[in-house]
Amino acid sequence: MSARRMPRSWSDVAGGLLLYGLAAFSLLVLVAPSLVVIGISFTEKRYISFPPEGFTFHWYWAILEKQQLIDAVGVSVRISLAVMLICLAIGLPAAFSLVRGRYRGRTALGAFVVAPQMMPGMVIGIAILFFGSFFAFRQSELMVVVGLSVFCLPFVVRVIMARLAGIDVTLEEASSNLGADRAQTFRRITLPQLLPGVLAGAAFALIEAFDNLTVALFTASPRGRPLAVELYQLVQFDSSPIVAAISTLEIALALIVVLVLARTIGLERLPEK
Amino acid sequence: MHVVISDVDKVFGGTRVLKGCTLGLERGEVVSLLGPSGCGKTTLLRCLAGFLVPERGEIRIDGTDVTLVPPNRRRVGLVFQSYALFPHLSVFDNVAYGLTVRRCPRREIAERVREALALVALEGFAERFPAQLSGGQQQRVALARAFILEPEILLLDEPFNALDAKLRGTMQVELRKLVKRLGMTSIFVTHDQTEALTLSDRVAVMRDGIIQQLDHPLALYDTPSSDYVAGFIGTTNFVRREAREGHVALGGGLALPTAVQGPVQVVLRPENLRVRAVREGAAAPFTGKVTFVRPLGATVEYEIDAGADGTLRVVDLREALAPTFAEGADVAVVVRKPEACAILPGEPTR
Amino acid sequence: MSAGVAGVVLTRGIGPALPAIVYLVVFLVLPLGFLFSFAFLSVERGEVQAGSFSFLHFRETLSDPLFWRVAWRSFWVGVVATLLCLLLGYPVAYLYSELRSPLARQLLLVAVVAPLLTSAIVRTYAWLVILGGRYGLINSMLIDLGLITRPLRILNTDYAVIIGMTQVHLPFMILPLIAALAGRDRSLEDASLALGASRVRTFWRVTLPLSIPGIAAGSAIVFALSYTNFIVPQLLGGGNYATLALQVYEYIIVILDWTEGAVRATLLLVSCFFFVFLITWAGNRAMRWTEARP
Repeated sequence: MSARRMPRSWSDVAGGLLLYGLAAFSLLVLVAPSLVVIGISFTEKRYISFPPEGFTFHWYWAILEKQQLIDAVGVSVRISLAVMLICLAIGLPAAFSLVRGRYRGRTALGAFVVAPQMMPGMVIGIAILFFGSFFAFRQSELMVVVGLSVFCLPFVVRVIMARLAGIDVTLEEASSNLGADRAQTFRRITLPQLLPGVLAGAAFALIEAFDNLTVALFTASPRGRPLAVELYQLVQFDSSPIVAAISTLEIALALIVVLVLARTIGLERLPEK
Repeated sequence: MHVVISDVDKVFGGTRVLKGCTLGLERGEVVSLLGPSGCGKTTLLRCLAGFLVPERGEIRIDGTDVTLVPPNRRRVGLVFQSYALFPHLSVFDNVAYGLTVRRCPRREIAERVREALALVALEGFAERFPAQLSGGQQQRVALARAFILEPEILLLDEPFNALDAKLRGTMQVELRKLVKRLGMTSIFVTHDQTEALTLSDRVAVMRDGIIQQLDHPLALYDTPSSDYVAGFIGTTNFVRREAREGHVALGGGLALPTAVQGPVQVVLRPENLRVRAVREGAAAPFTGKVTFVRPLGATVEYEIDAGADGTLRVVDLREALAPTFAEGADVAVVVRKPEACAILPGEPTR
Repeated sequence: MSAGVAGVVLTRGIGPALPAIVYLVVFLVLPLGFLFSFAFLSVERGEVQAGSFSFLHFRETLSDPLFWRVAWRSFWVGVVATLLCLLLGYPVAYLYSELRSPLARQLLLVAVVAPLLTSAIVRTYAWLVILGGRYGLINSMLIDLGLITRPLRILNTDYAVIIGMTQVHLPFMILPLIAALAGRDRSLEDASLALGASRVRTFWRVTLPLSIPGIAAGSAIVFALSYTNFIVPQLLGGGNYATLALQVYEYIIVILDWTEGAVRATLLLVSCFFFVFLITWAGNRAMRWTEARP
């Protein structure tokens, strides 16, 4: 039997068309730039132009010849690992205390810890730069780590807090009722429930610290620039498609991270945070 | 006595939630804590499980004081209202959990979990996750997870709340049979009197942190100790009278013998009353007008405006094809078995 | 995981939160104090001059008409980018909430989330390519189609900056909107239809008002990000383009006038928080029916 449909008024149809037309357009706007960049990265021309001509891996090989880019990747990897570890080490216990604690001012403290997420990265970077100037603490990898961990910590704590608040306390009571001590309950019940939150927080810190420019631009030393800062210079002074090649690699990395996130946490959970 | 709760007090933020609760259970006995929400029944349960420490009083299991024993060292099984199944563990791992944390040998765990799942008729479900089960199945997993540890006492917090009405009835009977078969001393917390009466050997009616009466289901119904209990279990008419010289005069020449003096309430269960046509010369304790008729078939329920005694509810057994009294009819109400009427001294407390 | 760790983590006290709090106080609150104080002090040869506290720098900046021109541009670029994000983001979030197939939902989320995971440079760089001079995508397309003969000047204009801001911040608008729309109570829309409203009217009268929290949250984030973004104006606005955020960067990193940088950073931060507060307040006001009765 063929499906029967109710007739729709022309305004409903027009409204629907407008809505979905706009949605399609903005999805195009979201995705197209990445596609353009990927296309450019394979061009044989010596300057950026569209459409790309020919097909070559030349610009990818060119990356390997730029020693400062390779170094910058190393700097960024070190920074992002350090930032992630700091955020987890002090963020995880803080989230527990802020959700489960029983003391006065807990809510206010929670607001204090989470509030800096509205702070522009630039302001954090400048503030730490000024602060450091008083203590002979100069622009360095360490300063980037400090700035970025301050920048990322509120997000990490918030994601873990949200997850923690969603854990049913009776599960832990049930575990205790079944004979598990606190350590067993933490390891077997609390932690597995919390893991998506911890993973999301860690992934966020890792990616943000790797990509961040706004904080790093003010805190990085000119001799040990992270990748984002190096790229920033490159974009302004180099019109060759090498930046497109690096961007393509970053896009590929981002897609891998998205797939991992989809597998472990489920992308549907991301909007909640 | 297997489990003894004596004089337990619990205070939350200045409010005494439990006021000297005392309760004793024989081994293998099933008792319900029945009362409206906020009466303290769940608090008492949490004291028993060790999640709360009472300010006063003690809890003894087999003579040992366990009041200050942490929850994971008590042999008290608890089935949570929400079941609290671990969502990230399979049915097998949920049921095995207590044995695993006690570091039981793997082989023994497998064997005992298999037996436990068989007891609750969930043999094929070991590898499923809680979210993949129906409400009734989840409840059985929660139950198996609790009794596999062979606790001294099994506590069940409103275990049927999450089930739909149809399933609830079946599960109540199943659960009662299972608990009896296991011979486990059990306490049910519920606010549903049918559930309490179905499940338990004895029922403890709670109100405002006090256990009002602990008795067999029928004894609660027949000889309530207070108008609160009488009103909470089943439907009741209360009639206020004055007791003098060993009698309470109901009216129409009917007098009930009693030992008390002064104001009393007479408990008249609807099925202990009978509606009759008003007849010249035949005295009746109550007369009035029928204000509502509920023709249910086997029985007919009447509401009768009995003047000073207020509205009386009567459940009349109906003979086949017999007509009913119409709304607005003048009728007399008589008592079938005067000796079955409970007499409660004092003014109403409800 | 040892019992020790669990013991610490399970404490009900303030203890476990202290490292994070101390960290934020030392490396955020204190440095912010330094930043603000720099706006009031004079620095010469890297030395803060004793007793140089004054409002002079603020007064000078605030009385400079050029400053107000730049601040005004920062503001309206932020507003336009926010409105465009709303216009483009809402349909995507709505589409997501209407999608039944999990695969389609996943793909949509990948398209929204993946750009977030690439650096700001990568995302802005793409626009250089698309909008750029004669060989940019748009111009070469328009010329090939014969619509224009000479390349349009898009790069290094407000248009380029706004386009870049909108695209870079679009995901930050879509995610809160998805959160607001995906979990909504459909029976309300059914009720509206059953009461005789058309689909379009139902959308305006029921769906849209109920998603105000998402709109407010997304708008606050997008405005704050656009208002303080200096990378997009730097790369797409051209050499003479100025916004408040870009000026802060230039004063501190290029001109090395930390005092003027601090003054503008302070003004930027304070005004940014004020506008965010305004958006949040407006959102709450529009949601007055959720408030408890007084």
